[in-house]
Parts: sequence; C-alpha cells; structure tokens
Amino acid sequence: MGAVDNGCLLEIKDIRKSFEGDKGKRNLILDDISLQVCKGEFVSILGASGCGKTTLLRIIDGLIESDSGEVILEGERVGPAQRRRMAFVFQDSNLLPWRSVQKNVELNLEAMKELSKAQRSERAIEALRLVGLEEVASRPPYQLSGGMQQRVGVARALARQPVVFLMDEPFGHLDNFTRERLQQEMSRLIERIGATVVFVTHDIDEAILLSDKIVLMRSNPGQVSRVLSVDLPRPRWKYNVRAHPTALALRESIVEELGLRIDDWEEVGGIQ
Amino acid sequence: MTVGLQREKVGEDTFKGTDDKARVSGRGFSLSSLGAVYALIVILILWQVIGSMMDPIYISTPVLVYKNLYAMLFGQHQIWHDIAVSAVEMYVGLAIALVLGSVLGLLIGRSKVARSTLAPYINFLNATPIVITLPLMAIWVGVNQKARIIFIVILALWPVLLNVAAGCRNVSGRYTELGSSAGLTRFEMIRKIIVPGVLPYFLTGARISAGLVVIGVVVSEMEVSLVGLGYLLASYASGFQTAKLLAVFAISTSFGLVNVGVLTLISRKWAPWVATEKRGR
Ligand SMILES: Nc1ncnc2c1ncn2[C@@H]1O[C@H](COP(=O)(O)OP(=O)(O)O)[C@@H](O)[C@H]1O
Ligand SMILES: [Mg+2]
Repeated sequence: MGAVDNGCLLEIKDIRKSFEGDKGKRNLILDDISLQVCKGEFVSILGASGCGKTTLLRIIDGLIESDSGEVILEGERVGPAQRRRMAFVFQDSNLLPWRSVQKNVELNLEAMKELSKAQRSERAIEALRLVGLEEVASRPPYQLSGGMQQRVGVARALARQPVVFLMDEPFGHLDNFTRERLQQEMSRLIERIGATVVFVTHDIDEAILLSDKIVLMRSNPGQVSRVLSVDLPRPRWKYNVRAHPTALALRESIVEELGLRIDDWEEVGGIQ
Repeated sequence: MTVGLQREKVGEDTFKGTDDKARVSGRGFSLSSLGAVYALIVILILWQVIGSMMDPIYISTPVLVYKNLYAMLFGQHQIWHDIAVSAVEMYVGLAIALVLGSVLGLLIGRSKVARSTLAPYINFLNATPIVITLPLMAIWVGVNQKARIIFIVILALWPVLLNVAAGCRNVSGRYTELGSSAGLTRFEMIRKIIVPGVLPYFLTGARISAGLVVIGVVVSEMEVSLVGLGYLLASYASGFQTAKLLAVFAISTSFGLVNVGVLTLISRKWAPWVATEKRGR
C-alpha cells in the first residue's frame, strides 16, 4: 500500500457511518469525514452534542467499524497491530471497581505480552506519577474524587506509550474548578511529552487552550465544516490565552460557524 | 507554578470510622440497635401475658415454645433427622439454582440469539405462581426428595438468572469497550471484565435465592413429603400443636436468617464497592 509520507501520523479518509434508527431506517451519523493528524499535533474535534464525535473516535480506535472509508496510522490501515499503538481516554473514567488504581492502569498493558509483569507495574507507576497520583496507586478507584478518577483514566492511556491518544471529552463530567485545573495540567503534560492527540470536546475555550488545530463538526449528518489552526504561543496559560487577540478572533469565528448560523436556527423553529 | 500536578486530598472520613455502622444498619439486617432489643423484650412479655390467658392452641406462649424447641434440639423429641433432610434439600437446591441461574443468565445477557429465543419462556415462567408446579412434580417425579429439589431449584432460579443477565448488560456498555480498547482477547475479556463485573449482581440474586430456598423447602415438604421441617409444620398445624409449630417455625426462620446473613457478609467482602457506590450517588 502506497504510504505517502507527508508527515501525517494518522489519516482519516472519507469515513461514513450510519446507525439503525427508528422504524428500521438508517440514520447517517458521519458523512465523509476526513482529517489528518501530524506527529506531535494536538487536534481537537469540536462540535455540538450528538454530532458524532464519540462515534468517530470509536471508529478510529477500531471499537466499531465504519460503513466505508479508512483509518490509516503510520501509513497502514488500522488493524490489531495499529490499535495497540493508540490509547483511548473515555468520557467517564470507567475504572474497574474491583481493581486497585494501579491494576486499572495495568489493564491497558495486559494485552502487550512482550512486557513482563514487573515492566507493566513499572510503567503503570510511571504513568501515575505523571498525573501526580502515584500515592494512591494501591487504593480502590471508588475512593477517589471524580477529578482523580479522570486522571487515572489519562494515566491508563499514558502507560501504553501510544503514538496517538484518543480522548473523548475527558473533562466533560467534571465540575468547573476541577475541569479548569485538569485542562491546565493536560496542557502542561502534553507540552512536556510532545504527545499526538485527537481530542473530542464541545467546549470552545478548552479546544483553543489545548489545540494546534481545531476541526469543527456540524451535526445531522456529522461533517467537517471547517479546520482552524490555533497560532498561539506555548506554553499556554488559561488566563493569558483567554484574553489573547488571536484567541478572541478564533473564538468569534468558531461561534459564528457553529452556533449562530441562521439556517440552524430555522431548523429548531427560529428565534421567537 | 511547578510542572508537577497537584494532588487532591482523598476524603478519609468517607470510608472510615462511624460510617461503617451506618452501612450495617442501612442494609436493614442487623438487630444491633438497642431500640429493637427493647421492642423484642416488650413483645415477648406481652405475648407471654396474653398467651397464658388463652387456650394455648391460639398463640401459645414464648416459654412453651422455648420448651418445645429445647426438646426438639436436645431433649426427648429430637428432630435432627428432619432438620438434616431439609438442609440437604435446601442447599443442594440452592447450589443447583446458583449454577443454573448463572449459566442461563450469562447466556441471555451475552447472546442476542439466546435472549430472543428464551426471553418469552422465561417471562412466562417467571410470571407463573410456581407453587402450582408442585402437584405436577409429584405426578412426574413422585413424592420424593428429587421432586422437592426440582421445585426448590425452579423457585430459587429467577433472582440469580435475572440479576446475572442484568449485570451482563450493565457490564457490556461500560466496561467491555475498555477491554476491547486495551486489546484483550475474548477469553481475557470474560475472565477480567465480565465475571468480576457480574459478580455483585450474582451476589444480589444469590442473597434473594438463599431466602427463597427456605420457602421452597418448607412448601414442598408440606405438600410432597413425610419428613423434614415442612412436613413437621404441616402435621403440627393439623394437630393444633401450636407451640411445636412455632418451634419448627423458629428453626426454619433461622435457616433463612443465616443464609441471607452469610451472603450479605460475602457481598460486603467480595464486592465492597457496591455499597460505596450506592451511598456515593
Ligand atoms: N450504537 C449506536 N446505535 C445507534 N445510534 C447511535 C449509536 N451510537 C451513537 N448513536 C447516535 O449517533 C449520534 C452521535 O452520537 P455520538 O457519537 O455519541 O455523539 P457525540 O459524541 O458527538 O455527542 C447520536 O444521535 C446517537 O444517538
Ligand atoms: Mg460523545
């Protein structure tokens, strides 16, 4: 297969996906989605709830199959070998209550038979250290706060040392304070380890703070409506990004593109 | 600002100290509170006073019941043989119900084909008053232990089956995607995700079944037996021997309490997160 080396690590080509809807008719959820993610890039997929972001991420990770189109990682179509080089961070941390925090992280390594038990535990501890949780490694997860659980979810992905992180609104369920702090921590962490990330969110400010590139998605059916690059210097801090002229302009165009298109308003009955 | 991530404090008080007590009484099982003990004493005294003013065939008295109970366990009228017969039927029935219920529950929870094939029959049987199968059992199998055990199994099967099936469905959405993303094989998925995930549901069902088998053994022995606690209950009832009846009643009830109590303890040990999660939400 002709892998064109244009520096792109992950390539998503013309993904289509429909689900069984009411009365047996099929609902088109994703309509010819294409995007490219380069090495070390942080790409956010930004769109309203229900536009198909999670579905897209699940297709990339091979958790479900698309109707057509392909996902290419490092020049090859995604199969079991490629799936091992990706790591998913779920919307709810989804920690197994019967395993300790460390064992939860290790779960993500247990399919990697080349790692010894000691190596797995070493990697898990290291990942927990990166998110500042090595001290609760032996605790059961239900004793942790929501923010800490979500960090364990991030550590679980870090432990895999993947070439691409797939993150599905990892901070979506958290309270405002915790979310702000985790966003900042995530920003630091990503800058530090230079990770490649596909990050799903419906939070515009979060996308601007973290991303190099923002992919705007439209709903019904889910389509890429625009791709914007975020030319803000790093390291970024929440307070200086928010007031930065580039960020303001970006925010403006995102809001315009996503939220205030007149035809969308007409669809929901217009403004009274 | 350092690069390191800040650490939140885990709420120590949430799972230590006083909270344990709340959890125990919260399950509605223990009689640990003093109020309950006082109430019991008052009831026993009232029972003794009122009972001694009436013909003992009505409500008897606690003292009479105690004397009969003592005689049944350690005195002239020992009924250990009946207790043993009932216990064997009960626990053999429970064991079969737990195994069969889990297998069917897993099948229905995991496989769409099995679900659509079996669900109508299961719903039908579950809605049937199972006692009506007893006479049939006597005709098909005979008046023997086999008939009683089959009845106990049919009665106690449902809580396990339905809970395990529900557990499978719950685990499916939440945790199997995790295992799948981690790259677990089918077998690893079952061993590492499904079985432990379904375990608390199984234990919930098992606790209910462990109570039901006591009903099952008593009812079936009342109908199709000449031995066992149920048989004794039936014959004492027809002979108006109320004190003896209540003594056997006490023995049967203790079986129920012990069964449910043991399973509650096992649940708390094997699946401590269930209690914690419920309180947390
Ligand atoms: N397994 C499924 N079966 C049927 N419909 C689904 C399934 N998964 C998602 N959908 C539908 O697809 C749409 C997009 O869902 P999702 O990808 O979760 O959106 P988002 O993550 O952007 O909020 C929703 O309308 C949802 O109801
Ligand atoms: Mg989603």
